[in-house]
Amino acid sequence: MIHVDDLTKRFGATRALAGLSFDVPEGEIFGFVGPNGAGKTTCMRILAALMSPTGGVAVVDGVDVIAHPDQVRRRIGYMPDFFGVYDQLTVAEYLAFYATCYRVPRARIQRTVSDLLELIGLPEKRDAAVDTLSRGMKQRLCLARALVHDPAVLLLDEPASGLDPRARVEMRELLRELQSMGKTIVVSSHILPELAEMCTLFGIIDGGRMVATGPLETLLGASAHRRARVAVGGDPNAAALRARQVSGVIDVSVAGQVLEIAYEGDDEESSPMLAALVQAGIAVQSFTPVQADLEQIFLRTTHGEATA
Amino acid sequence: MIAVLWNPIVTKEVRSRMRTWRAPVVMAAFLTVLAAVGYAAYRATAPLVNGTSNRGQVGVAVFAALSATVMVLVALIVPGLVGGAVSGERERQTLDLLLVTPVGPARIIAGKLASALLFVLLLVVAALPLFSVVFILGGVDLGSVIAVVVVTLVTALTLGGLSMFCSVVLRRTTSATVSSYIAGFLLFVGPLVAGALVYSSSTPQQLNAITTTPGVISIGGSSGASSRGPVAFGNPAPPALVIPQKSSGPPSVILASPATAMFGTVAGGFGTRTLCYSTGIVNQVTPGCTTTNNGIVANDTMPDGVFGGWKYWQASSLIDGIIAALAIAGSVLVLRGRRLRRRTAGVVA
Repeated sequence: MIHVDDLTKRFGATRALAGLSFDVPEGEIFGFVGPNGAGKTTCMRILAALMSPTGGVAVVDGVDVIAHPDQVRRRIGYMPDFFGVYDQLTVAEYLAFYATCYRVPRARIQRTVSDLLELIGLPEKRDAAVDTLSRGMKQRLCLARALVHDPAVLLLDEPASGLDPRARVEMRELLRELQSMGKTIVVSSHILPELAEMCTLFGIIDGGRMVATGPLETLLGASAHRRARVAVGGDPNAAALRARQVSGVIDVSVAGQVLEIAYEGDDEESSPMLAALVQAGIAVQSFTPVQADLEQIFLRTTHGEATA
Repeated sequence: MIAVLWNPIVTKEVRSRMRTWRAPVVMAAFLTVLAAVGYAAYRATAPLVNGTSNRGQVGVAVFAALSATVMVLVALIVPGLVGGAVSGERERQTLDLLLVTPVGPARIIAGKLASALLFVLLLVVAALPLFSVVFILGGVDLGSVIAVVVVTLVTALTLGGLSMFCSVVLRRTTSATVSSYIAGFLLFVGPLVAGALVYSSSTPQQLNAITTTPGVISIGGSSGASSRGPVAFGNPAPPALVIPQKSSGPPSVILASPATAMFGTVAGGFGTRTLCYSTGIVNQVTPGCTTTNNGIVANDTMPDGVFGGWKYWQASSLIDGIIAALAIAGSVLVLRGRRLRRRTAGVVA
């Protein structure tokens, strides 16, 4: 549904995108994860035909974004990370205005507005002034605005930012419902636990490049090293010194009587590591493998980029 | 054309504008000032005229005052209406939401301008009852009223176009609005200054000729001297009074100022009508004065130059219309540059 290949974008001397490539199949919720300034918003703006790339290819639903921006605009619903609303308009007028902009036939506009208000759970706010809505409501209204022309693809830039936990859950349920309606959704965020529950596919971006893509399980399995918390007896610093000599150990940090050990390998190899530590003369009192999660993968992969 | 103008932006803009407290306040202030000026003009001229036969002169004076005031007020209102049109959307972070829709930059700009002009039209229509008082006094024909309305709307369009360009180019509404007022000021004053410079560089003989030609006053201080040969007063002409002159109407550059259009219509058309009469040559038309169908003469026509034979307001409206078109086209191009530009690349399968 979305195909991005070797996309680059320069702003003067800065490179916002440095050969970004990824694919999102139809019906997926793609979690676009990366630290601030990684290029998420730039990529979304290019896909939304708001900005032309310096180089590369971006295709939405079989249509080249650069060659046919007008056709792409009809296929995507875009929600920017920061947006405003028009005061002096009611919620229904606000949605109807954008529906007219998207050339929704006049006869269908009122139906569309009612359906969308039902979907985002704000039917009772129909005649309220837009600027009286809460932040969470505005966020949902903006999502409804992106849906007025029934697009196949949704590009949502940080839709959960600035929302309280309850509003976030509502947003998540809304996205699931949209997925069940057959829409392909791209969601960007730096709030990782949010995306872990929400998305079917992940892409981790850093420095304008995709550093890892795939479903959550693949990302967790593919991580190059594991972590374990090892409680030791005696002098922890001496134990750390010994642990560093053990082959396969990448990094050791000391926190009280507990060593945090990063080592190569997957779950099967945790017992050889335990054995090796004992063999090295470390008084192991407990050995707890730490389950890697998206957050760690994120920190690891993006940290690696930053220091490289 | 109608599809470009009548778009969702117009509906939305008009709706939001009329819901603010500003719209009725501006309207009330506009009509109050206009009524006050009209009344003052009436009180100032009425005692100078005796009898009912000359009451038309009072009507002319009131009409001139009202027209000039409408123009000044419109010039003050339009940059305020349009200056924030695009920069305001940018500041409120709604511009991107508009640019991702299929509504193109041309329709966004056309819609914003159309809604501002509709407000000006509303003001002009609201002022018509005041203007109708002039018809009771007499002295003004319908053609002049139409000319004033056309000049006012064209001026609003030109100022709107210039303000729109400022609004598209500059990021902040404050600077865009201030620049709009400066651009409006330059539009009014710039051409007159340029005209004065052109005029002052003409030969002293011409200057002399102008000052010694009695009874003829026209825009820019130039005489609009006869292209039909020497002018003489009294018949037959004593040879000593024949002043050879090069044809020299006012420089065409002053036509770019809306003030020329308005002054040429209300003052040139009526104010100097009396002067044309007072020279005592009813049969011989004074240069720069034209004979209207009811036999009176008016000084509202360019005597020569590129626009020789055109009424001031016609030539001026044409030039300002061109300026407006250029400013609007420039605004569309700049705004289009902010959106993805179409590239002639093939479709990727």
